[in-house]
Amino acid sequence: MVSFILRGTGQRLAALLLLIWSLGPVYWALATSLMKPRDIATSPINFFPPEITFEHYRKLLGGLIGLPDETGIWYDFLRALINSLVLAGGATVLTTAIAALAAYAAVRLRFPGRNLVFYMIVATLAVPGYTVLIPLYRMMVSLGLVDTYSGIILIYISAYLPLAMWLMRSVYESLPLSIEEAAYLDGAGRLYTMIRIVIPLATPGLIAAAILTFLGAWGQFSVPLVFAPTAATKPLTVLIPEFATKNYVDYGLINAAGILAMIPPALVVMFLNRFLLNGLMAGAGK
Amino acid sequence: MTDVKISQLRKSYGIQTALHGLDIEMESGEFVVLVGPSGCGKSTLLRMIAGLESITSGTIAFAGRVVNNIAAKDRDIAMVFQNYALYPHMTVRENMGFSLKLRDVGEAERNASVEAAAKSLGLGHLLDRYPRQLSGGQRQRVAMGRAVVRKPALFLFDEPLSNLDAKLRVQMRTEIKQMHKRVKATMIYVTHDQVEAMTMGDRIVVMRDGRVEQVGKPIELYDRPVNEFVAGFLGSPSMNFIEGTLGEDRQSVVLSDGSRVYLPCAVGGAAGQPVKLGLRPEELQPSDRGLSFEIDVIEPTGAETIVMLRNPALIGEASLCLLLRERYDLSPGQAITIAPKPGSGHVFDAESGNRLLPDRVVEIAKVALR
Ligand SMILES: Nc1ncnc2c1ncn2[C@@H]1O[C@H](COP(=O)(O)OP(=O)(O)O)[C@@H](O)[C@H]1O
Ligand SMILES: [Mg+2]
Repeated sequence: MVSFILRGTGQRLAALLLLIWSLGPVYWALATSLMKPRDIATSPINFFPPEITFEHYRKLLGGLIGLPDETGIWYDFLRALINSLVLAGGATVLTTAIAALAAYAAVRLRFPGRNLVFYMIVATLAVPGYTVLIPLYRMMVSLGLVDTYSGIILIYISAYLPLAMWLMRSVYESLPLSIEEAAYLDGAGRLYTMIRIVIPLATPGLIAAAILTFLGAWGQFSVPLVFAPTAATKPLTVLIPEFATKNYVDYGLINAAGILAMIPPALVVMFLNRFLLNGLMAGAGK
Repeated sequence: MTDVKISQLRKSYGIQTALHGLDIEMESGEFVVLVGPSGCGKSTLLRMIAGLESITSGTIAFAGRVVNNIAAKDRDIAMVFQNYALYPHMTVRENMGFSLKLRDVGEAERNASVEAAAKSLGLGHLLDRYPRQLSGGQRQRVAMGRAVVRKPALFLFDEPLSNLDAKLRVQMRTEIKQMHKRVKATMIYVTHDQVEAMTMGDRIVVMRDGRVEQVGKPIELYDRPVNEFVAGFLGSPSMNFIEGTLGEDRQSVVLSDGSRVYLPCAVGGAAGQPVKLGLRPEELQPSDRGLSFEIDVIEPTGAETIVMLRNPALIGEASLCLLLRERYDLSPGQAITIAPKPGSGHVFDAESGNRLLPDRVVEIAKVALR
């Protein structure tokens, strides 16, 4: 009994620590984003904003709703937000679609070198991104793809496809082949079976792949730092650090932008999560 | 309705050969059971007929037309899988109507077909449920319904009852036979269960290690197995074998304890040749004269009683099984003398296991005990 209570307490303590560990920085960013600049770098530190202000958020969003604004920051922010959405969204849709087809081929189609191709794609996971950055840059320059959506999305796809394919492969492997065979015998072709039977059953896996890719692409820093030099493609991750200049680090603004930048991925996860139905496969077999 | 002709059919997986040149003919409208121990190639053969597995060599023909190069989806075949393979994201109605939808059957007609099939299988009230909301037996019926709705020329079943409990299995056995009578299509049924094979098949194909051992009507196979394997595989409890040698007159078998069993007519084979005498448990009965045993275990099932007998001098450490329909007052440790009923018994070559047929008489050798 005592050990039971102790264990329960221990578990709660562990959960609490984990919560502080993961939500602490978020709280800290939120608190800082609501403080006046003079309250931010004080000693002792303010754990709560002594006085709440929305001036940082106003700088980032004010222009959008027509408030007078002299810095022009809102425009850069909006531009970068759109870039982030296009880059991460495009990479997510394409990566998931390609992984869905490629992994299926790797699992179900028989062709020479099938496993070799798959493992070579997955093996690129082991190559650290920065080691290929310079040759990649030269390649992208010669292709005229630097500072273009398609160029950066292409890089994201090559970065996240192996993981998505790996994930999708195990999803397909867990689907009983006999369900597809039953569809063939019912008169369905390969493509029809893929669309009507396989994809619906693999949806949880596709959602998981989409979430992973979106979160990864949304948070990318080094790739856009190199390949997105101008406002045309520069995403939030590259824009936000620019709020720290040589003379003045605008902590309030950086944290307010950070809080806003958290919203889209949170929404994506919440939205897609609804499709992550458990037990979709239940009832197929015995 | 279609007849199926399989000629010299081979299947290799790399260097391993799963089927060694099979020749089987199935008549139109026939219910054929493929039976054999696990791993003998039954599923492989069935899947090749379905078009789900490639053919290494040989041909499969439906109604005289070779189908080797016809895709599974165009063979007009329905298959019931061992794990049912229902579409989990579709309702029972959608599961059963899937094939009709693919053939552009209108919704009204589709619903009528599905509902008729569902009614005959007792699924009428479950049409809007998902497979996960059904019991194992109901899923099995949906899998059958999905096959029936299509009105295919050929039905294939791969151990469809092996996941059901014993009682339901017996019931579904009957229902499948009734379905066969109703739809009159050719059906090929795979099982490792010899009881299913015996009770369901118009004809049985007994397989072992990728080869056909014997093809025939259930009773034919039971009464005249071509070899020791078929003899031992069909029947439960299975046939007893007692080693001995063929007498110099080729009309008797000499057992290891010196007792001699006389055969009513000469069988093929040489004098002194080692043979096995096969006796089914229900072909033996207590008798005043015959072979002596000690009762080891008694297993009454109500309708019948299984008695395991021992005699180390005659059969070593093995047991001899006796099946009694009448009730006797027996107890373990008791001595008993048994003899085969008239007109029963089989003789096999000890080495090859092949049946030793009588030289002239085609009728099976009737074995008499002294
Ligand atoms: N895909 C495969 N690759 C290699 N060997 C296989 C494959 N499928 C079946 N086999 C082999 O073929 C033989 C027959 O298998 P199967 O037809 O499933 O037997 P059964 O259905 O009679 O139990 C077995 O020895 C099995 O190991
Ligand atoms: Mg099998």
